[in-house]
Amino acid sequence: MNKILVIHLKRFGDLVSAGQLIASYRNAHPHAEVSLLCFEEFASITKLIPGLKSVYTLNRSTLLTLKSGKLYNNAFAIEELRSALSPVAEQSFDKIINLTNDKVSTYICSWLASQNNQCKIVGMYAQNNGLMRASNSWGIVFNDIATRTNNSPFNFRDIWAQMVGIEDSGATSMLTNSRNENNVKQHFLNLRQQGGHIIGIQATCSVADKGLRRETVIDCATKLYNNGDHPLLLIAPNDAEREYAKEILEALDFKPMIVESDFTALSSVVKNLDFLITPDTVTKHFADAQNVPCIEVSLGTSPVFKQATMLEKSRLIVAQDRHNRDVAADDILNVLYATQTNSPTLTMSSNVVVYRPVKIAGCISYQAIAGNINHAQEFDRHASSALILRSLNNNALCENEFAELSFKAPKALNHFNHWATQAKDESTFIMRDLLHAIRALLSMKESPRRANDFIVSLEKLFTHTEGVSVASIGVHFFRSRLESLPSANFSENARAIESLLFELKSDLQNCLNLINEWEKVWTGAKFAGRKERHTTMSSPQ
Amino acid sequence: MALDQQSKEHYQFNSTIEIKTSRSENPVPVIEGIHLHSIYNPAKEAESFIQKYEPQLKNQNRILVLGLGFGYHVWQLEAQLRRDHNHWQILIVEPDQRIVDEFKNYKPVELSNYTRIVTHSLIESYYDDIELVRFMATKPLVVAHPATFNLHERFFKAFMSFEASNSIESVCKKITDQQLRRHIESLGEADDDFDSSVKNQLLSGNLNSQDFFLGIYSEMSAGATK
Repeated sequence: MNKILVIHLKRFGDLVSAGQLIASYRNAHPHAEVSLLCFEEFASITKLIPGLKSVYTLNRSTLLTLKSGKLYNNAFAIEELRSALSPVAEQSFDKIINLTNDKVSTYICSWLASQNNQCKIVGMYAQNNGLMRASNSWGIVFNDIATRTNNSPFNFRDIWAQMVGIEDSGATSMLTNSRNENNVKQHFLNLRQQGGHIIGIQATCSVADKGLRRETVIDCATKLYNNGDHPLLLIAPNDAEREYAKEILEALDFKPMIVESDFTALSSVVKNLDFLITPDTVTKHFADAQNVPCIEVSLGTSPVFKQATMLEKSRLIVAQDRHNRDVAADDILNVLYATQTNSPTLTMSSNVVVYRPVKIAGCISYQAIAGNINHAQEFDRHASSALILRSLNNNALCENEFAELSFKAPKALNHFNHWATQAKDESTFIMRDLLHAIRALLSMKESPRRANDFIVSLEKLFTHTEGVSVASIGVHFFRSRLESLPSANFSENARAIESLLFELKSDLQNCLNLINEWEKVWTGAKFAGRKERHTTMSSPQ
Repeated sequence: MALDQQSKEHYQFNSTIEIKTSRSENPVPVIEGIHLHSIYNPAKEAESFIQKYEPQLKNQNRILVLGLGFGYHVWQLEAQLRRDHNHWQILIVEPDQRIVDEFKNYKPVELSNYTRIVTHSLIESYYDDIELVRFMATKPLVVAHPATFNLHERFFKAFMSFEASNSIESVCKKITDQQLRRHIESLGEADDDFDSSVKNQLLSGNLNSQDFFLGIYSEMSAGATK
């Protein structure tokens, strides 16, 4: 029986996602014994994650007090940390899966592994030279690509699954308490007998700029009620949220049910909803885990595709003016009703884009289905997903599926040519800088005095990692692999760098091939569209 | 006197301690003519003193008491905490060992096992006490016994404004793991600042297991997460 330690040093919602990954891991490895290390302030949610052998915690607050207080010698913080981590080290884990990419977790991985030669690390870790390194190329996607863009080609959960080498098995129930469960079912049964759907609205958000505006909540609740549905306002059990709910109630002409619940109760509440309307909160992650469809409204600093809902029956609404959080209640409800009735047409009044999660090659992609679509962004994200899957998983078959997904977006065909030209141009610019770097390297091998030319050429190449696009993905891989090369002598390093440069050349060629392939799909789709229109026009009435 | 000197100063208390009996028949210590409790009814005085803290005590079950006296205020404090909490912890800092001895001798009140009295003449010694440090790190409510505080004001002010040394030498003295201690000693000179030495080592490009551990400490204590 393998002993696995999952390290996850993020917040509540991310821990629910980690719970899903743990469930998928246990599906793939039923005999593995999985434990979790997390921060103590978020550990309360781990009791809802099924099948954990042990949960270890780090108390940041005590450590920071001991460290920052002038009264205390730093040794006490060190002793505190050692007493928290010693039980973890004593376990001699066979594998550590690091689902975080901060320095704390990378040092923990390397510290634990340094005490146990048999221990394998998956994810980011610290090398002896002090640099951080990904255990595999999906780790680079996690650390260097997804974190540098708001148009991430993959959701974190899929990246984790690929990094670990398993398939995300989708929704996996979080534990519930049977008393809560019966209580909620009984309450909801009374509502169900009156007809209509039970729709939760997550009224609040711990990060204010990610939350729905109060007017939007009021408007949604009123319209749902007028439509014969049962809106429930979901809040956390604290005075601030109670006060907020009271203000909302005062603005309503009816009395919706206010559901005030801790995480254990929330798990039961979400599980029994018909639908959830929510910003990017832990409640959204509960809905995904409990297989309950939601309309997620992505606002403010929410990371959109990296952490969006992954249920195919859910929808994601992304506000374009993210900071004003200007999403009309009518739009949210249009999406809700269209999803409930499977209606293909959607018209949006506010400046938003609506997405549908679709599974391709075992990963979730977000297909734009309505709204003010930025087609270049859509093409680029899907092309990036296809390119990464081809490059890392040797999966070239999915390229056309991603192309078809892109072309399904309304009016996408009209914008393809422009994007393809730009992407090819960017690839060509990068190829030019790459060839220059290869020449500079060969020249440096002949005469080490020309090292400066090579360094300048590398810096030029690295300017392409300022953003993430289908053309620059190869450069991100190249840079990360280069930066984690072990210290070696000049000739060994030169050989390794040369090999990495040729690998980048191959990646760029793959990128150009992919765009060419997509052009063929595009031509076919355009031709089919014309033919369809022609058939419709010439067919007898 | 500079703070550092104050923390190394041995506080010695030589004034005579006289024990009087209050009208309510309770023993009351008197030092330098100052009655540490009411000479009429120390229990009643303590009750009204603790009443002032009632709202804070509802939300706080860890209390640092500055000054033991004969413990009437602590006894009332325990009574209040017992009403509001199932568990509590009281730590009393009393610089005069003789008062602690007299308290134990006279037994004016009986305090529970949740209460601990700490007494040292050197301020540094208090902060060498890991239990006290852990307790202080929880940010307890501070209740100063007015008569004792006024009597030993200089000591208590120095106690509350203590600044620990964080030289490599002082850190090493308190590290229990031998390997880690030896490694920290190798990071620099005894007087070098510990944190700076750790940071330099992490940038050295030659890390071992102990460095990875110090890396966790360094990053976590900086609150650094990407």
